Amino acid sequence: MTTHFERLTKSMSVLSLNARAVGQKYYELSCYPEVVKEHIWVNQMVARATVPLMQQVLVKMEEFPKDELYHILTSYMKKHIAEETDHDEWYVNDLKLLGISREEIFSRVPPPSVAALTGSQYYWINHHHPVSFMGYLGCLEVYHPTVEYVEGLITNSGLPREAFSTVMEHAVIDAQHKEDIIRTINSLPLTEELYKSIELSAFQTFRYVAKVMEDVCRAAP
Amino acid sequence: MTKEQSHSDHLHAEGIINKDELTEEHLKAIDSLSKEEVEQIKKINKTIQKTSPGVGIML
Repeated sequence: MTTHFERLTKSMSVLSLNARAVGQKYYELSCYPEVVKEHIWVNQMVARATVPLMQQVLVKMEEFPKDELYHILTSYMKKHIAEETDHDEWYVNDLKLLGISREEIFSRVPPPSVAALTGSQYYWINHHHPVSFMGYLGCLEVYHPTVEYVEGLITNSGLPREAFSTVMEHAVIDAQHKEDIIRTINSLPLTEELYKSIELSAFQTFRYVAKVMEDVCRAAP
Repeated sequence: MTKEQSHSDHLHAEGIINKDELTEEHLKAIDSLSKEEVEQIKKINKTIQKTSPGVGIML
């Protein structure tokens, strides 16, 4: 029997194409330090929304205490909130090593692509069903960087290794997060309608990730 | 007058997707892409390294 995640993977192989291609273009441009700095900065912008989004899932799930998904989803979110807490601050520390102050980080207006990527999830959570958010997590936790890839960014950009501590940490810990999200998605008792909402949320995530990374690539001279 | 092909028809004809394996929602999602995004998919499908790790944004 095909699992939810196997089904999602099949869909995502097509839907992830643009995002993966822009990711490849970014890697080719990583010889420009300003592009890599921008990449770390936008990851901070996205990371600052991660825990609040998961907290919003918990808030909304309280409206459905008898929902079959309640225990699986809330248990996963509580565990994952603990795992993701302070990652945005880790990026702040890395950016400081690149000469970008906390004040600069938080006073900059984020690109609309970042607001679209994270903000669209508030719609899925608040106005459809919080389980849709698993599509967002499925994309970003599963398609994570590898240690070899991060080593390439360090070499290509010539930026100090210490500034990549959060990116490198994700290359390591996301392998475990990937297994957790796959197991959780597969264990969800989903109706066809709810499965489709996860799939569309994943689709939208890939689409907006491509736009965020296109913006990052524009930092190239 | 010939009816204009949808994005999913176009990508199917190029061998990039198999419409028979995709759901109606899936096809609608592909059809909602911009023309530029579809062109990008066509272009990169030929060149992308299938092992390309990550998409750049990480949690």
